[in-house]
Amino acid sequence: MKFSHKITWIFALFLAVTLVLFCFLACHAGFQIRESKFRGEFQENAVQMMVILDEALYERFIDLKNITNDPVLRTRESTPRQIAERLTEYRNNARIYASLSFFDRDGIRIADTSGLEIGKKTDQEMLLKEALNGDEYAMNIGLSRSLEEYVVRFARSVKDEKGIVLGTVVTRISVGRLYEIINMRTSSQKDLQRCIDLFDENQRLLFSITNKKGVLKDHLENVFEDVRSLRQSQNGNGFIYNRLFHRNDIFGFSREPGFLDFKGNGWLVVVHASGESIFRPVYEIRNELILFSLVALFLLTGMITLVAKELSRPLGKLKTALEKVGAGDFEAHVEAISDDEFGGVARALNEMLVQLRGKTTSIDNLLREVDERVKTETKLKEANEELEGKAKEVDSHVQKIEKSREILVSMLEDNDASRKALEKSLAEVKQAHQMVIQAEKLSSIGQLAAGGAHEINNPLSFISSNLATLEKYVGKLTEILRAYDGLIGVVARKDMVKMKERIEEITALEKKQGMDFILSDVDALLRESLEGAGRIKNIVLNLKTFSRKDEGVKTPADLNVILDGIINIIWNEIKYKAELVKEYGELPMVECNSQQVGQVFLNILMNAAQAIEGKGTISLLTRAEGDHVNIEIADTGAGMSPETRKRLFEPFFTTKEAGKGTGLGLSISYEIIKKHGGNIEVESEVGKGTKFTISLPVRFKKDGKVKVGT
Amino acid sequence: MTRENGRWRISEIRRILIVLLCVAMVAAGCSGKPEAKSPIRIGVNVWPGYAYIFLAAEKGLFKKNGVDVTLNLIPEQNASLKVYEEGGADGVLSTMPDVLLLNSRGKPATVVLVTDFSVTGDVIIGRPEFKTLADLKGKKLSFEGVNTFSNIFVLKALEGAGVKEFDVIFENVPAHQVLSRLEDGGIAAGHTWEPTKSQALKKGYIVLAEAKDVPGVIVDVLAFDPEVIRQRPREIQAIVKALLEAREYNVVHREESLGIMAKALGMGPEEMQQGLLGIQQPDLNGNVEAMEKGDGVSSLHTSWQTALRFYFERGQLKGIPEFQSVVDPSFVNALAAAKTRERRP
Repeated sequence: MKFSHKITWIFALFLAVTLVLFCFLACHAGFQIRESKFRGEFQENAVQMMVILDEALYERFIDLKNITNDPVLRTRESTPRQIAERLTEYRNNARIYASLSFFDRDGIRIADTSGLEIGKKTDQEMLLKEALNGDEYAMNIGLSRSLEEYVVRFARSVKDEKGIVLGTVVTRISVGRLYEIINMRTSSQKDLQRCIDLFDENQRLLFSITNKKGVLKDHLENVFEDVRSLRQSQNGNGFIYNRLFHRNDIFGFSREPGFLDFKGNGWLVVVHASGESIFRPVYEIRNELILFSLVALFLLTGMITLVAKELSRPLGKLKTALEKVGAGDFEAHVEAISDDEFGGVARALNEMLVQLRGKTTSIDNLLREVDERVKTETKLKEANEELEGKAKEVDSHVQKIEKSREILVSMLEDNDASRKALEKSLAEVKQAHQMVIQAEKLSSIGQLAAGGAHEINNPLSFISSNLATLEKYVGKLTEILRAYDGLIGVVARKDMVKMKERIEEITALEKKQGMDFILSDVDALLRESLEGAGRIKNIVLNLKTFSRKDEGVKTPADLNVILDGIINIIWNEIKYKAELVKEYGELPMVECNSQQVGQVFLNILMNAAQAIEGKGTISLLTRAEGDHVNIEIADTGAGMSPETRKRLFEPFFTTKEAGKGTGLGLSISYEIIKKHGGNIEVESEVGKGTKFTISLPVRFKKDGKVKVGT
Repeated sequence: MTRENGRWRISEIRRILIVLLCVAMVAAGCSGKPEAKSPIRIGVNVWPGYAYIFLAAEKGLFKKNGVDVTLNLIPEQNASLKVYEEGGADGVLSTMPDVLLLNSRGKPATVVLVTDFSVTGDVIIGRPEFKTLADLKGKKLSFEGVNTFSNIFVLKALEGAGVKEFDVIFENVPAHQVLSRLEDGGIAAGHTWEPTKSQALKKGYIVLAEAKDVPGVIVDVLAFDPEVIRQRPREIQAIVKALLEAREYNVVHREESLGIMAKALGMGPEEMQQGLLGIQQPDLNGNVEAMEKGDGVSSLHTSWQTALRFYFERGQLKGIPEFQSVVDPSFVNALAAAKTRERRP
């Protein structure tokens, strides 16, 4: 449920509860007030009425006393007409009597102001009897036959001066009139339907406004259920539960106290009103209160709905904004309108979003950076791994070279002069070595090195041994020269004796040292060494050629020359193992990278040489075929199994022992040939030998297609 | 207020509920009202001057004026009054003095219309040997009902003839029994009216006094419970209008009306005719005049005054009620005003 609805419902609920309570309490209070008020009031009324009634009755007796003392009445001789006249006068003056009548001693009606029943016997014998008994006032209530209404009768006997009873005067007032006397002098609220019931001493209903039918018939019990209190007390009040109406009828009552020397007549007046009429104002108020409450509830709830909506609007805005943020939109912004906590929250949210936006941007940037770095790292890792692999290779080859170098260095450490020349050559060799190393980084450096090293090694070894011998000879010659030096000194001094000595010494020494041999040998040695150095120079030149940085430039080259150059480099490897058979054809200049092609020849030749066990033959065939040039290198080596042949051009595939070969040579060769737009094929049979056929296009086209024509 | 469906619906329901509740409460609050659509009961006794109420009923004049009326015919005046007094009728056709008495007895009645003035309708019929009322001294005379208009009429008539009330003895005899009492010698004379009047006259009894001898005493009126008038004024207005229309109808369609009215009261058309001859029925203007407080014989007020004194002396009244409280001329005045508007173009 929406927050504003919650507020509305809660408010409506509370308000409803409050209003219900209020209405209930108000009404309850109203009922209580009314009831107690009227109970008191009715009782007062009843008491008052009874007093008034008493007075009224008393006055009637006074009247009666006067009337019965009337001289005309007291005169025996008065005629009925005279009596009637007198009575009429009294009636007109008093204005209260329905009629007055005079009965003779026998109870015959002599005169009556109504003119009715004249000459008839009274039907109120009891009354007259009572009246005739001495000085008593008699009173009763009953239906007057003649007057056809309920009357209160008062009777008193008339006596003449002697005290002889002449008759009885009976005065009658209508009960209604009596009621009016009572009612007139007691206040009552107009809207209240107040009922007054009068009961005689026998609890017989004498008069009632509301219960006219019950007059002189109903008894107290018929009318009121709660009789006990009515019977017992002098006056009081009470209530009767009105079953129909579920509210109490209220009554108050009073008994006639009796007056002046006269016995109380025991009458009871009950003033009552129905609960309906008493509580009507409360019901009306209750209805109005309910109506008001409902209207108020409706109006106020309506207003509160508006207010709640207003108040919770900022909440809604916040919600929307936060939802946006949740969805990833950090551009959300909440207007902080209100001055209260909602406004504060909105402002805080905005600030937070600003911060977030900034941070997310940074994070985004960071992530991008990280991403890039990771990519770079990965690349680096890959490169690194590659390098490591290659480095390992290089390492092993370098180790070999290092060993060779060390050997060379140690060999040449003995002789200074030659060493320098050799050092120079060595430097060149080192350079060449470097180049070899370099070349090995790209391809089968090991082979080159091995081959190159071999080629260099051989002359170097005899050069160094020659140098060693030469050193010895130089030593010996130095000795001899020193001896001659001594001779010169002696000759100069013209010491003939010493001179002979010295010549003898020198001759002995020369013989000892074998100077003749030395002299003859030195020549041979030097010649051999120079030759050897020349060879090394050649090889180095070749190597230089081949170790020059490959710029990928393809220039026309004579493949026969390249082939010869390679052979030269690795002649040492080949010469002990194979007999070379060359069949060079007339080749056009082929557009190629000489170094690379040379590398290829080298690899294949090396392999061929290494494949031969004992002694064999390596055949070299070159031929021009249209736009191609074919070079065949065959050996009578061990040959390859079909499995080996399949894997021949695989990188790192080698049949040599670990550490002896990289396995890269042929794969690189394959690459090189392919890059030249050529082809390389292998035929081999185990035990028979292997034949490599390289075909290269004369003109190189980038896409591998050969340029036709020139 | 935005028209969001959910909230609007709740408000709507609430509003409807409240409206219903209000209606219910208003209806409940008006519980003091008697059944609005129950017919208005009117008590009628046998008096020619009242007969035209049956004409109005027969001719649908009540229905035409939008009111539902139940007529309750009770031969005797007092009985009819008693029924009203005990709440058995909402209204009653009666004499002015009786209305006064009703009021004093605690059952109020308010006069809304003068139906007729008795002219020769009320008579004291006596044995032929008594030529005048003065001859009745010491004799028995009858009236119908103690302290009724009849009582007043008789005493007034005697007064007019110089006879004091105690000169005569009285008996209470209903008007329709007067003939038989005359015949059996019980009374020397008695107050009666149609049909007994004609019957008695036929038998040779003579008229000793007529209403016109004591003018302004016997005035017949239509009176209602003031509570009913208060709660259903439109219907009372309709009844008054219908009665006046009936009066007009009777003037125009005498034969037909006579038949209807005689039948309704249970008397022969001749008797009815006689009875009608004995009265004067005031039209709208006559009514307006009669209800004004004045001293003329055609004024209700005269009847009022007479009765007042009578009752006062006989201890029947606690005090002198206001004339205005017992007579309500508003209905006839409204009709008169409407007529005046009609006349002006």
